[in-house]
Amino acid sequence: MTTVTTDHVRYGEIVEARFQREMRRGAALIAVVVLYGLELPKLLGNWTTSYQSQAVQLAAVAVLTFVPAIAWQDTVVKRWRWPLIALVLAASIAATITVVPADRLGTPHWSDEAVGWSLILLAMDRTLPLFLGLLAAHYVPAFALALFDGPVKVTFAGVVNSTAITASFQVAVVLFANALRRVGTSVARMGREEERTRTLAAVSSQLHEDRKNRYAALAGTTAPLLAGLGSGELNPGDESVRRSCAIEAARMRRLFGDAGERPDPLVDELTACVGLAERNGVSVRFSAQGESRAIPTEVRRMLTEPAVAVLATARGKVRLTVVGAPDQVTVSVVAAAGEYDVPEVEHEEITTSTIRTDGRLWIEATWKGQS
Amino acid sequence: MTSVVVVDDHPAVIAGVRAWCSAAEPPIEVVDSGSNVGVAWLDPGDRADVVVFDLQLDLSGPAYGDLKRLVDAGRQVVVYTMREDKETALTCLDIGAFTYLTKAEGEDHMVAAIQAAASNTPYTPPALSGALGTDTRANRPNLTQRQVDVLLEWFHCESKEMVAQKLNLTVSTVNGYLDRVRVKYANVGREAPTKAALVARAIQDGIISVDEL
Repeated sequence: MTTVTTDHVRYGEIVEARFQREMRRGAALIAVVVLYGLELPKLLGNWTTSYQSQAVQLAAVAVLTFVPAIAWQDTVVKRWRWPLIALVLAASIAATITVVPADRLGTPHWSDEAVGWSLILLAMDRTLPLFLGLLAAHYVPAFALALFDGPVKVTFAGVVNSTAITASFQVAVVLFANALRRVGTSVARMGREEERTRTLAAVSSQLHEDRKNRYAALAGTTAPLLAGLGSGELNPGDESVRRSCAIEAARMRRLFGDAGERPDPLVDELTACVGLAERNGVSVRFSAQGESRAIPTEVRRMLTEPAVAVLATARGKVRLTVVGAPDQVTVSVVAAAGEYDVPEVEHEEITTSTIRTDGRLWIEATWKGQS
Repeated sequence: MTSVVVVDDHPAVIAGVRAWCSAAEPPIEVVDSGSNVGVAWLDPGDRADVVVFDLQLDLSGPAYGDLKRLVDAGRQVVVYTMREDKETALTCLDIGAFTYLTKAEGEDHMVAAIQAAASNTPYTPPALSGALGTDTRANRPNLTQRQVDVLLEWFHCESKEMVAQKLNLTVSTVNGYLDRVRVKYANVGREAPTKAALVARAIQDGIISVDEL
C-alpha cells in the first residue's frame, strides 16, 4: 500500500519534469549548434572589417556558450534565471554596440540571431509574454541604433530575412514548449488519478478481505454460541454462558466499529492482546481517543507492558484505554483486583501509577517524550 | 414520572433500555419506541421528556439532521450510539445533544443520563469525557489543565472514586470539574433551547458563575 502511494506521487512528478528537462536539453543543443555552426563563421568572416572591438564580440560568444552549457539543467535555471537573463541581455547590447554602424542588422551582426536561443532556454518554462518582452529587450536597442546611429547597409527585405524569420521561429519554439507543458501536466494529473483509483481499489479489496476473515473468525465462535442458545443446549442463566455472550458481543462491536484505515502500532498491539484475553474468557472494553502518535518501538513496548500483564491474567471485565495528546500518550487498564505479575517499568520518560479501590485495580502508564 | 421515547433500529437495544428504565429508582416510563425518528414526533412519543436516539439508523451515516430537528424543537436528546470516535461525539454536542452515550456504556449510564436530561443537569459519560479531553479544535472552550486531567482520567477508569484518589480530590470536586466543562461546551455550542436551559440551570445550581462563561 505504501509503495503504491509513493510511486504514484513520484510518477506525477516524473511526467511533469521529464517533458521539461528534455525540451530544455534540446534547446541548449540548438543554441550551441546555431552559435558555432551558423553565427561564428559570420563573426570570423568579418573579423577585421565590421567590429569596433573584437574582444567584446569574443566575450559575447563566451557568454552565449556559457549560458547553454549550464542552463540545460532545470535546477540552474530555477535558481539563476534572472542573473543569467541579465547577463545575456548585457551581452546582446554590448555585441550590438560594438558592431560598426553600417553593418548593424546585417550579416556581420551575428548576435542578432544568436541571442534569442539562449533566451528561449531561460524563459521556455514561463509564459509567452515574458519571452516576447525579452526578445523586445534584445531587438529594440539594435533597431534603435540602426535608425538613429545609421545609416545601415542592409535593406528592409534583409532585416525581415534575418530578424523576423528567426524571431518567429523562436516564438514558435516557446509556444510549442508551453503546449507540451500543458499536455505534460494533464498527463500527470490523469496518471495520478488513475493511480489513486487503483490504490483505493487495492485498499478496499484488502479491507474487504480483512473483514471477511474476521467474519469468518466470528462464525467459528459466535455461531456455535447462538446455535447452543437456540437449541436450549446452553442456559442463558449460566454465568459462563453469559460471559461468552459478553465476549462475543465485544468482538462483534469491535468488528462493526472498525474503520481499519488508520494504522497505529500501539492500538494494533493492544488489540492483539485483547484478542488473547478474550480467548481466556475476559470481557475487554477497549477504547482509544485522541491522536495516534509515532512512538519509538522500545517505548511502546514498555508503555503497554503493564496492560499486557494485567490482560494476560485478568478475570471478568477489563477496561483498556489509550489517549494520545500532543505532549503525551497514556495507556490505562482497569481490572478486578487480584494477584498480577505486573513488571516494573523502568524508563525515564514513562511514569506509572497504580490505584486500588473497591476491589478494582487501575494501572496507568504515561509517556511524556519527543517522538 | 420521567418519560422517555427510544429511537433505535435494533429490538434488543430497545428491550434493554426498557429493562433498565423499569428497574430504575424512581422508575422511568418508556412511552414509545421504534426504529424511525417518527416515533419521537408522534403521539405519545412527542410528549416524552427525553429522547434516546440511535445515531446510525441506516447506512447513510450519522443522522445529524434528525438530531438537529429534535434539538431545535427543544427536545432533550440522549445520543446512544455504536460510534466511539471523537468527531461524532463532538459534532453531536455542537448540534445540541444533551449527552453522548456509547452502547458499551449504556448499562452503567443510561438511567442516570435520562434522569439528568429530564432535570437539565449536566451529564458526561466516560466516552464523551475522552472526546472532550482530547478535543483540539480551534473553537473549543478554554479548559484548565486540571479540567483536562479530570476528563481524561474519568475516561480511563470510569470510576469517580478512583479519579478522586488519583488526583487527590473529593468525588464531588471531580463532579464539579466535569459539570463545569460540560456547561462551558454548552455555552460555546450552537444556539439551541436545550443549551440555554442547561446553562441557566448550571448558573442557578452554582456549578458555574456567569463570569466563568
